[in-house]
Amino acid sequence: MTKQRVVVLGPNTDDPLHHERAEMADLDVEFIQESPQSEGEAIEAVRGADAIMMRGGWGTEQVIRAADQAKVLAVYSHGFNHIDVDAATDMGIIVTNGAGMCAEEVSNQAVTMALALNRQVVQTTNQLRDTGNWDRSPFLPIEPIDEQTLGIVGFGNIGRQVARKLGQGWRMETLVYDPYVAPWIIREYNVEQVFEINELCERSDYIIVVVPLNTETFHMIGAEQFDHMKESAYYINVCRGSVTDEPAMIDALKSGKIRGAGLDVFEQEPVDPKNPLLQMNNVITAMHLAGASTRSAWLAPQRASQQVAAVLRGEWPSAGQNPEVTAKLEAKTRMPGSAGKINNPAS
Amino acid sequence: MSTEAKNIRVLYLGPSGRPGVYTEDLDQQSRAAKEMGAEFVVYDGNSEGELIEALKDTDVAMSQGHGISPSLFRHMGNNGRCKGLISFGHGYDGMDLDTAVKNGVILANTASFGTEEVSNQTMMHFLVCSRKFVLHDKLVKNGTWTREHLAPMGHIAGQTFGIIGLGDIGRAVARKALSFGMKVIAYDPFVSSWDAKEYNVEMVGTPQEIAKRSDYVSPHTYLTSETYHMVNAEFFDMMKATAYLINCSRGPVVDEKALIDALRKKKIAGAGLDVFEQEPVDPSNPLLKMDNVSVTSHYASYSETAWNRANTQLGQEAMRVALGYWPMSLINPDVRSTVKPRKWAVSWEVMLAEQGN
Repeated sequence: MTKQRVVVLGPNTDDPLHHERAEMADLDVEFIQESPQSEGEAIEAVRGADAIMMRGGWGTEQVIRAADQAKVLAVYSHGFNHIDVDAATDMGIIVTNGAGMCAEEVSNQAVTMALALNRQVVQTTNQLRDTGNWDRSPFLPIEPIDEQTLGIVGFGNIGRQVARKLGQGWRMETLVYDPYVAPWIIREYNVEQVFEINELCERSDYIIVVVPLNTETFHMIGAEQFDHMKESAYYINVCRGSVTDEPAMIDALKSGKIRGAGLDVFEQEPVDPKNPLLQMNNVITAMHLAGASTRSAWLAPQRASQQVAAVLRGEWPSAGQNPEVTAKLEAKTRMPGSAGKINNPAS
Repeated sequence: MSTEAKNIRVLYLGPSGRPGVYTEDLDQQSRAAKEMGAEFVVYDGNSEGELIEALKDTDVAMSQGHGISPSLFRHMGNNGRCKGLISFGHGYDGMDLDTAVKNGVILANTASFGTEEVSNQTMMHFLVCSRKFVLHDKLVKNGTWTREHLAPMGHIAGQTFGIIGLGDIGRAVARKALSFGMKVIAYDPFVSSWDAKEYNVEMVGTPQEIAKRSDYVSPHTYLTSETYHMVNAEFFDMMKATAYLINCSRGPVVDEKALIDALRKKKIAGAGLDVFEQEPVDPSNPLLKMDNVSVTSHYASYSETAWNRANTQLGQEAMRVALGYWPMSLINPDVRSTVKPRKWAVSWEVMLAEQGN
């Protein structure tokens, strides 16, 4: 049998691939590293690949349709908005991501921003450092966070950790908007589910968005949603910039429709230095590093490699993101949670 | 009222066609259909032929204790109008998943309705075992005030609770055991170590490791060919002599003969059982005579709240399947490869809105 070809697309071609090799040590695979500089080069790179691992871009329809042999496309990141999932599904390619790979980190970034906005830490530091002015009045009122309401948009791995930390830890009343979440998860986390995004906006003092970016979530927080928020509300985005309609947010912040924002992500990245958000005193920012830590740095390749290894072994991966692809596959793959044949009808 | 739902017929199958065994009326089971404006039909036949006929005029069926033979699936799914079957309760050990998948029949249960109840029952049996309650209750009531049978008795805090199957119930048990200050370990090939971290549970690679390390072992799996007699003689041989087995899942997950043997030979300290291989349990079953075994009559999931919830979910899942959504608690996910694409399951409130209610 010929070796299975695992094509790794990344910014360089001399990565030692420690995790990739370790996780697939029991498989007869060869690794091919490519660093395509154009879509055409990416198309050439994926042709004949049994598995594709993406450390960067090139998840376009043209590239995916060229991957005529691939069984799996693994992205190293949590987000897979740069992948044409429909094309992959159509080609019978399982798309996997780094689900949970940086849920601790991203949820911590969200909590950090909520607390920093509540306590105005960035603004007080700036004032003291820049002017030495001891006047605390610009930062008041500071509300007691344990009497405030948290609104989480998206109740996946990260949203649940935010609920555990701020909801249970800081004892905030917690609202969740996620039409796809099962009621038992809602009960398990002791949160309240709301079924209209505008209701969440109206009732929350902190609105934290943690959803994947897709056609449903693109600009899901726009002018209408900011209009529904309290003037005292803080908006926090640690997922993807384009979940927010950025001009609408700038307008809301300028006109005092909301009190402030914590932004790890922007619609254009790296952010334009002239972006007015960077000039606002009520906005705190970071350069899309919510997922970063020394641990997620090695968990990302390890997790992506485990996903590929599972598929090449004929198993269903734990972080498959397009379950509808099973319609294109033989029923031999086994979904987590599916049960074997019953041989003992009882009870 | 949903225009789409107007033509939908939901078939209710009670135990042998008799409604009202579990509840006085079918208000809860039929509420979702009524909210959507669909028709709710109670099946009253009593032969397979009649049932097959009834399924032909049905979009979805729900079963509350009705036997489901694999041959029914050949008239459902891709071969008929009835797209799926929702089954009351948690276990689905009476249904042939393979035949359902082959024929494109969507199966769902009322997942998680009794998570609190079953986990509470588990904790109750665990405490009763650990504190040697059955024996001492009997001694005291018989007028014997003695403390000579106490040792060995664990401290609980710091002891290890081993869970096999870290689903909703397993996680609730983990949360409760953690609140007693216990170390919780779990075996579940479908749960990754990073997910388990969210629950402060250490995942182990094999059931054997659960046997060796645990002071209390509690399976919370479905009954399938993979879990049948998963706790067997070999497993008991590896357990500590001071350890207890708790079972609130399904009787045949444990090899009962091997359990009796292990208890007689004092390979383990005792057991707490809500379920048996044969139910109702044979009154001559030796387990019922042992002072280190606590027993209940397979009611772990019961409370009015839980069963009302299950009835409600039963109706809502049926409407999801009838209206072209995936159910929230799909139990045969392989069916995704044999049916046409569907909409993702959404909460009932969102579904009502989507359907124009």
